Amino acid sequence: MWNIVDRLARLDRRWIFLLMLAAVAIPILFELQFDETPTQQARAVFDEIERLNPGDPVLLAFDYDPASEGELSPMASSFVLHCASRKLKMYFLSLFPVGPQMIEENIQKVILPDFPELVYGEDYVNLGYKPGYEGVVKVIMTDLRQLYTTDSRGTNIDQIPMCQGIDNVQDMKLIVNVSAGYPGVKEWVQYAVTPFPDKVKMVAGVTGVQAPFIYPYIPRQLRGMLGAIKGAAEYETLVTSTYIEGTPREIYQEGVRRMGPQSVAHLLMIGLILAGNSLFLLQKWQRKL
Amino acid sequence: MQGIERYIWTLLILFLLGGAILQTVWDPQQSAGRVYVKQVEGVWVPADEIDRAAGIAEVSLLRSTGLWISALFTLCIFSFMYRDNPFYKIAEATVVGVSAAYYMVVGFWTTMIPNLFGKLFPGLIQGWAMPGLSPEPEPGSWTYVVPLVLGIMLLMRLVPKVSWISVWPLAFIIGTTAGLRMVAFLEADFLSQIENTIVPIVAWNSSGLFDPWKSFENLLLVVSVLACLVYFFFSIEHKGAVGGISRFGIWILMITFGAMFGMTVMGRIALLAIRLEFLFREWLNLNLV
Amino acid sequence: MKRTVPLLIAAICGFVLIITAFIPATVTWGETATVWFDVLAAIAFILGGGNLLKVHLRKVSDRAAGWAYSLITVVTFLLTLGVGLLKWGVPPGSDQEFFGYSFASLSVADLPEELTFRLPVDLPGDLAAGTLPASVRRQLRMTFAENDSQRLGTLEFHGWMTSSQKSDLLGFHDLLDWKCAVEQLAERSAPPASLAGKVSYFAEHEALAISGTLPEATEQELRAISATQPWTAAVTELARLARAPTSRTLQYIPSGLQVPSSREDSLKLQGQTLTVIGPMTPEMRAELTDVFPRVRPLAEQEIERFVADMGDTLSEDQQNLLRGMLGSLWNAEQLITVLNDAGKSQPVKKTYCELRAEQLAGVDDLSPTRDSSEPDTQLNAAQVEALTAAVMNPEVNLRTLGSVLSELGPWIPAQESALQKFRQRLPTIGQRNRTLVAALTLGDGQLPRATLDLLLAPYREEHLWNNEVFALYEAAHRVKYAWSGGYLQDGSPFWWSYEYAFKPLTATMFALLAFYVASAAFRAFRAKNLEAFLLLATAFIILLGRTPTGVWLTSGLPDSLSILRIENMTAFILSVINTAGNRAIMIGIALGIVSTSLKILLGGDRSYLGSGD
Repeated sequence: MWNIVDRLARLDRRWIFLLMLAAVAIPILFELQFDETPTQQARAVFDEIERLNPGDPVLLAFDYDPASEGELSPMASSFVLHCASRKLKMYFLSLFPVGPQMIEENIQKVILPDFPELVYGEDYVNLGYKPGYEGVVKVIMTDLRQLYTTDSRGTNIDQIPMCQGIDNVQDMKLIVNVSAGYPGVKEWVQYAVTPFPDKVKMVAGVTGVQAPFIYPYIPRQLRGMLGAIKGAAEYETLVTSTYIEGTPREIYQEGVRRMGPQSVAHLLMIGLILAGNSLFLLQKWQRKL
Repeated sequence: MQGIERYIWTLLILFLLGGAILQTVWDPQQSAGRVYVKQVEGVWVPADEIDRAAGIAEVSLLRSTGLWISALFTLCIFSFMYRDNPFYKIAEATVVGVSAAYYMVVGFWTTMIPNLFGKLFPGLIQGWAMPGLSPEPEPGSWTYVVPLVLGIMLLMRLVPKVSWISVWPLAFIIGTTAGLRMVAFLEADFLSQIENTIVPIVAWNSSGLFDPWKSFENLLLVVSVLACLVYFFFSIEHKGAVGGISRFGIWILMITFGAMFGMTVMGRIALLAIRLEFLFREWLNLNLV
Repeated sequence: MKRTVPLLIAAICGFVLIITAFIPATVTWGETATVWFDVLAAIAFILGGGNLLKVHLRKVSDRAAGWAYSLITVVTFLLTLGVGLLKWGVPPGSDQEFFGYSFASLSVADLPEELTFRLPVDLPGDLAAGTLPASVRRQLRMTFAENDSQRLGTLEFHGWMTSSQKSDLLGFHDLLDWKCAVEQLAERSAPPASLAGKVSYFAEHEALAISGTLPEATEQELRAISATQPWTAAVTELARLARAPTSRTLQYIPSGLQVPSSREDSLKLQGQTLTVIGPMTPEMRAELTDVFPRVRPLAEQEIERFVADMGDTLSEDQQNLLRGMLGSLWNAEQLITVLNDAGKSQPVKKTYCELRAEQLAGVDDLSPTRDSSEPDTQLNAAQVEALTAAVMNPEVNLRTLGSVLSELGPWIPAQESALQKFRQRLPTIGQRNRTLVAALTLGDGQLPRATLDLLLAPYREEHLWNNEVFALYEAAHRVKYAWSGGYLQDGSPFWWSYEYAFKPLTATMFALLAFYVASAAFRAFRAKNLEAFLLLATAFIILLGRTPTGVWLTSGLPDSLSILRIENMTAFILSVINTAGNRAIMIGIALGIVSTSLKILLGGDRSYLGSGD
């Protein structure tokens, strides 16, 4: 028996890789899916957007890239769906070089097919990316035009109807941030919300890695936060059940769909932790004998 | 042994590729391994099932090739789990080259052109690339000579003989960052956090009754923050009562790290899920249900 | 100097930014420094690229170990960079191209004297001190009164004023005198009524422009304006451009297509060939593509007939869905409401000159609008009846409904435009059928080939025709700004390298980490002591708490113990204990950042200066 314990404890890590692959692949192939019950955090984010009035300007800062699309794209598309359903004016921008692609993808996935009546430049605008990390946030809080002289398509910002009358980000009723890391939610809290506590409100969707670090800002500096794919799935359920009749299209079920493989992989992780520790205890016991 | 292993791997790879090609040929929906496009307003955009049924979509050779290349790249990276190998190295070399060029192009078109040259030579830039820009220089735009000169100094880093001059713009960057961060961290992460921690230890619920659970949570929050800070405070020896408190602080920190680990795991799995979704759905169109 | 200057730069920049946080008047200093910082951040990308190239080229030239991989890096780098910087395969930006216009180069200096418009004014002189909006700076001149150097005497405008220039000028100052003067100047510097909407002068593009083709009469009128050489040359150039024919042999023509009579001078259809004279304007294109019938409300029998036409290919559910969708398209009531709303008399906006007159007359409470003297126009019973019958009648075209209604009662232009707007927002039959197919095939729904063909034929025809028209629209257009497209344009080589190399590679790199955390969980996480146990137990709860299994395991607990339900425990850990732990860490880091920042600014930390020389 001790022989087996030792061999298991020294198991080649590639077998564990294979187990992980199976734990994620099989639920995807068989479309395993569970229902989601929204928790308080997801509801806080949802309510914050619900409180806005049609026509209110909202800044959608999509600070993520393909590397974290798995977690964040369901949040981003739910945010766009929610804002468009509430008839809010959407100003997209990004602090990530690849961000404009993410914004464009959401425009093509959500706005063009489901809200064809929305007009670019009147109902939504893609201001694009500017390098400069937190420096960008710092500048546009007091003067948007210092950096954004045009939108991402090169149109002069003064010729975009919905940008007339918007001087800086303090004019936004809410900042919605989807963040993959630096620069992202922390910088928005530090440079946008904290210096203007009475004017600027913010909600965010963040990756699992960032979520624990952001909790200390809730609820005073950050009104609500969606953490990782679980938060995405909950918020997605809230939005689709409120604003879509019948079965939502596939792209509005990404979060819930991805919770299938997620749950199985979590169980595998728990199993691995338990197995590793059991083997450890058995080995310790063996040495005592 | 080595020879046999190589043989097995070659066979396995050929087998998988053969499977993918067969699936592409025999897929009943004829969508595996292909990208369909349609022309709208002179631009080729992705086409969906209905466009195909209507007969207005066609297979895009370029994009289908791209789909295969991105699938192969994905598999090349996954191959690293077995061990380092030339396929992985090729993929790695590609990502380095492409991403560096990507950032450079983005920096050029989003900042250098509109925010630097567009300010210094608006007429030239307007006539060439940005018709929306005003050809009239703004008052004070000559100051953009400063970042231009600093930028050129920064690029001197590539020339060994004069690379010392690049320390000047570096000093500018570091000084600006230090100034920005000092204020922001002091406000958002120090003062605001102390403020956030001042919560009522005797809490009342919405109907004006004593809320024991909320009170306990608040008390625990305050005590925990203080205990952790005591643990961080190395100027006094952690003995006696101080030792006890700092030990409690360690426990709190350990639970925090556990939460971080749990959330990190969550995030990573979602990233894996989206890649497998790409392989199974977008590339191979596998439907097992 | 090599060491002192950088120390000074760092200290000055840093302290400026700190000061701006406390003194509101200095905010612009901070802004300037930060904008420079942002520009440098972009240049740093170039430095990064240059460095990469340098390192890998050296590796290749030295034939160092792994030089072949370096070569791949260099090649992919140069390829991506090349196609990105050159905007290869990127069409010019469609919103920047002035579709439908022909441009003839004409600088502001070359504008004939006849196009200089002067307005005598009496305005405060300090207006001249302000910075004029960039769009009019080349064309507007303010001169002081001859007898009073404190007052402006004349406003002088070169060229025809565009509406956006007018609104820029109105926004220049809030003084009513000024706004009234702008209004008068705009009126004076408008093109003659016969040319209005047809010709424009775009100073920012240094172009005399004409929309669509140039009829002989218009050309003569333009020539009559001035005989100067640059003007005549520009008009000749316009005539050449605006009369160049572009033809296209059509593969598909919608049945019954006719060139609208108002477009006969610029559009010709001969057999399979459609010819446009000069550029095609967006309005012409919209008119040409708007030839397909729009959906109209269907009667009960029509819906049943529609469903019956599908044969027995539809399941019961699909049939009901189809009935529901066809029955809820729109109805006559909605159109009646729209038309009655449009008929309501609107308050009339006063001009600034009117407001100024009121102000001079001593009115205290200036209202920007006045009530209209016109009564409301509402549809009468005969009109309502005719409309209700017409929308249900497939023979009647909504486009011409206005002329029918105008014979039955009062009918104002606002109603006509509301009618056309309403009509244009209705889906065409093709668009409706596409929606029907999407709904019928959602989930596991299936439709047989024959049904699909039947439903999608109109969609296909509309698509083909739109593409035919667009092809001609594009062919007749002369590119004005070839580089104005977005560098990320879908389908361009740069987009391709993002979509099929950058995206899968970076995303998969990060996905690999999932495997390594699994391996770490098995091999490294051992409950060796209490601290390690706490960490593991927490990770265990968090992971389990986010699965349905965990929720199911503890769902049996009574309400009094609901805190022990795993989802509540997870929330408690994250929002109380994790918050406390991370807050303490955050405070510690903040103090660390403040002290390092101060050290840098005061010159205590000089590590960034490098090793010395």
